[in-house]
Amino acid sequence: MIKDFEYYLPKATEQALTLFSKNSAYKAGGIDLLDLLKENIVSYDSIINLSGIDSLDFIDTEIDLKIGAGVSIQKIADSQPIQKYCPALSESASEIATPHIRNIATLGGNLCQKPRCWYFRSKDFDCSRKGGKVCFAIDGENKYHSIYGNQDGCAFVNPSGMATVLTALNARLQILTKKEIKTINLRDFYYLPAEKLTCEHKLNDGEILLSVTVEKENLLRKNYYCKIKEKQSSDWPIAEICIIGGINSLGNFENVSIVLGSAAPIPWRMIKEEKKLEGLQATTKYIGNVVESSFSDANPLRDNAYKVKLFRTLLYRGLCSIAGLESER
Amino acid sequence: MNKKEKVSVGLPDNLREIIIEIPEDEPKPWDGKSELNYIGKRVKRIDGIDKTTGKAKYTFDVKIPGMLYAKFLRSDFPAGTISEIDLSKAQKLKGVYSVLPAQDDLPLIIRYAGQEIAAVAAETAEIAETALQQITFKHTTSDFVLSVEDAIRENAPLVYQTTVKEKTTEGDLDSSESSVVQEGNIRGPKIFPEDENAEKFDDYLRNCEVIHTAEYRTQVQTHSAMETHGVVVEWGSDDKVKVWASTQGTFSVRNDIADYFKLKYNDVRVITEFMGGGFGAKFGAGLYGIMAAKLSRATGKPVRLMLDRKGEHLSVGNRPDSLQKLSIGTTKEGKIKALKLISLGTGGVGTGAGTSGPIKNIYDYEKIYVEESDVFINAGPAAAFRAPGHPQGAFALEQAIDEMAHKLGIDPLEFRRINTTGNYIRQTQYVLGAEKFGWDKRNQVPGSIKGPIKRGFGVANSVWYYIYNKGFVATVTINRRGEVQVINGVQDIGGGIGTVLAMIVAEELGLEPDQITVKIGDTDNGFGPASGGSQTTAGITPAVRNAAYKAKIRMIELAASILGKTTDKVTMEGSRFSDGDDISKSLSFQQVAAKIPGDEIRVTAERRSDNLGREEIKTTIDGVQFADVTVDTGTGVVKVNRIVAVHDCGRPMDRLTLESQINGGIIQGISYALYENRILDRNTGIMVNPNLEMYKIAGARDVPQIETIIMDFNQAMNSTGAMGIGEPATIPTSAAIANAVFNAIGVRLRSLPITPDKILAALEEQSK
Repeated sequence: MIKDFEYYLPKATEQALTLFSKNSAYKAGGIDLLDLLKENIVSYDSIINLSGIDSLDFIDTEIDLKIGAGVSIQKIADSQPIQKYCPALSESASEIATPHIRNIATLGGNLCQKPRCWYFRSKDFDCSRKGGKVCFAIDGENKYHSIYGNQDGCAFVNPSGMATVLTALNARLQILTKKEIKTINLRDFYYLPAEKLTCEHKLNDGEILLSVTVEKENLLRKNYYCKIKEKQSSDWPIAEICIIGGINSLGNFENVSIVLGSAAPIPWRMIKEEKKLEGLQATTKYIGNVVESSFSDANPLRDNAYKVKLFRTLLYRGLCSIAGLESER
Repeated sequence: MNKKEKVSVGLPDNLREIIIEIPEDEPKPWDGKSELNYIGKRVKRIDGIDKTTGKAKYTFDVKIPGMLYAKFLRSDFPAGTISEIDLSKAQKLKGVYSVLPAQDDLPLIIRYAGQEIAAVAAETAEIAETALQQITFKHTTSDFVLSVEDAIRENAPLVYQTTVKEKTTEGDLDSSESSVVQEGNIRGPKIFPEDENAEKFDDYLRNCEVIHTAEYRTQVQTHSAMETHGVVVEWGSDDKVKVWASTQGTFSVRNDIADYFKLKYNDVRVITEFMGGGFGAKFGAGLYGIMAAKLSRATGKPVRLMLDRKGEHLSVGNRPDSLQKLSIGTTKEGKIKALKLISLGTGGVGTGAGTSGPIKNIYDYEKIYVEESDVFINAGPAAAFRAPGHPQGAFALEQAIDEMAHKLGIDPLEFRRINTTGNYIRQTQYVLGAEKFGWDKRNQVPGSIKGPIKRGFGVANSVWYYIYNKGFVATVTINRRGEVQVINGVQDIGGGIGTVLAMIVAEELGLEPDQITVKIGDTDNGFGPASGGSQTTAGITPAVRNAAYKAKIRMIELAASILGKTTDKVTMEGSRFSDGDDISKSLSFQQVAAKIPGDEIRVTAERRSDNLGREEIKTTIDGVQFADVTVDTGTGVVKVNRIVAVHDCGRPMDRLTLESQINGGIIQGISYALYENRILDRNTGIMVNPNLEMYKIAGARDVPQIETIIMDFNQAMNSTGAMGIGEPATIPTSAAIANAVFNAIGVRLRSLPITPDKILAALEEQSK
């Protein structure tokens, strides 16, 4: 049962800031929050609904690409500038959940949602992420869990499709605190379980995520995005990849950014592979070599080793796509 | 008194005439030459608008002043004993009216996580939920088993210390309790044929020229109807009980409640006006029905007890899993000599895991041997589920058949053809289906397509049975204003039986379906069939047509008296009655009705046995489905592109709702093949996906192009000749998909659901 709470609908971010008290939560679309409340995973004394704040709902392409945290996922999918400047982001948005959810869910909510791990989401399991002692997934049903970052007492995967793409685009977050508007690089935003076990990101209580910015230099580059789901209607991905990069005039890879989703508790950057690719001639042979040597550092659990094979395919296909080559895999 | 009629039976392009004998008060059966206005045509649901606009009220929507909301407390451990329960704190909570234990006497043995412990009735659902948290109990936990493999190990913890008697419902095929032994957690085996000697059979099998043996596995599929199980019970101060139930059998709910509380059947009324789906688990009152009635009796208020989705997944039924070892022995030419099935399956704490229907009933064979056993584990009980045992059985059999064809180098469809030669319906289905599907365009060498994305075709047979019960009573009334009603207790679980009844009465009386008022879903309306075994239409339609026919005769008699003629001189054209000697003298339906003495004509007719003194009526319902799939060998994702389904089901009534049932069966079959899976946490026994987010069900984007061929098969065995389709359509889909996957990638997936991880593992295994 949902415990009674105070409910506020402020019109401005400043008002929302002052309304926040000790056991409050901000709500945007509420897709995640309401589920957590209904399942008794969280409870709050007051809930402050941000969806009445117009200043959070904008897409600005004047210099950089700047998207308000309150923009709906569907708007991101439909936005023509986004389709033009970073198609991976609109593709990812269009693959999220269902039309109903995309119309209500917001960019901010998508980035900040809690883990979708079935042990975390069930009241029946007092798991480590809820403050308990055990990660039930490590020795339990872990087909949908992480292959990286799972050795520190929690094996969930970051569920945010937006985060996968925006991490590859090296986006920055603008966050309103009581004192200032601070900026955090999305690549530094999420915590690994080793850093914090019961908190996923650096948006502190009482702070409001205002917007996400992708710098001009990261727009209009080559994009590859692919999300693999077991079923095509409304499902969480089992693997996701976003590659942003380029091929220089010599036909070599240049400044490639590779991020995996549904692989780790954070959007998982393939930094080693990025380095290997820098300056590498973009041929299927060299791509194959990079892919072959990748994932040796993954730590699959009993039921999710298939993800390694899956990610290898996605990496291969993605790099071929960036290079304009036909994939044989 | 009987009369003789000449009828045309068989398939439309191959009709033959036979003489049948039927009761005097029944019309000549519709046959292959009947020219009809509505029957066999596409008629939209009479309640379609009500359903799509929300005007239709389901049990879930029932709200009565003063109604209380009830909820269950469930165990969160899979095995143990509750020795004491303290309900007092919950009872004291403001807004709580009654708290009752799920079982009157303690100790309460817990056999699965999710088992009901107690129920609360309170002013609001929220108060009930809070009260549940106030219930405390003393308990011990014990060791548990969660899989067939674990349960059959020596010294495995026992789920039951006592012998279990099989419980069956109208959804189950075999309700005869034979002497089955129970040892450890194994109940069985049931052996078929009972007198067959296993060793002798094995000798026979070993001597076959070509032998194929393999193991096949299917998963547990939970019931996921849109509307969950539940009731609203109003226990009156006069001890008359009114129940709104989301049920497939209004009368079975009535009987359970009346039996349990020792009430007269006549004092219990069950209403199911609209119903949000059921696949075999919604028969009888269920514990939820009994508890709601107890709570209503205790409080003197109406009580609503609808399960939440979690309760639905955990406690009210599922399709058992299976582990089937199947062998086929043939001649070099491909004639099947021997079939053998050793089947284990678990219905959790329930029974009904047999899978032998398809192997016994599809192919010709010389010898067969079947051993099938139920294995108990600490998980929620099974219940009948859309063609119990058959999707599991077909998944194993139809893949084994495919594997054998491959081994013999015979086209899989041809192999099926030469082993079902005695069944001309099947032979026709193969031809029709293959042509529509384009079977000749399939990839001849499995796995040979170049590139990572591979397409494949597969085929699979299904079998179901013509089942009907007798004694259903349909009433048709015509009043002085010419208004017509059809009345029966049958519930419409979504198949559209209400529409079909209107069509039948309209057809018989020369009216239009929307002129007929349909009153169904109420035990006060006369005995109607339970919707299990695909028997609703076959069960009730003959009674309805016979009643309409009787009403028509009464109208003709009335018209004759008005026209001053004998009845044989009155002809009926549409709904007009004419003087046969002078066509210009005619009366409208309303004009005749206006002369009805008193208020109305009210006639009833009963569902009798099918025509007597006939050559044998074909009692299997056959079907074949073709699947076209694409497999991405890099990601393991399977996409079903197209299904062509060919089914016979007697004489089609409403072709539109019939197609709709086939579509639904296929979609559920795809869901079973690729997605659905109950997952129990191996360490705690708790289901980790008791929702519709992680218990994955096919959605709109997973539905392929579906094409159906419905064969009109006339047997004129009763006045309508209808048979069932609800179950047959879901049986072969998963096997056809599995065979198509093999055709695409050249590797067999012998385990359901066929998920990307399994595809990738199988491909890796193959490349080694």
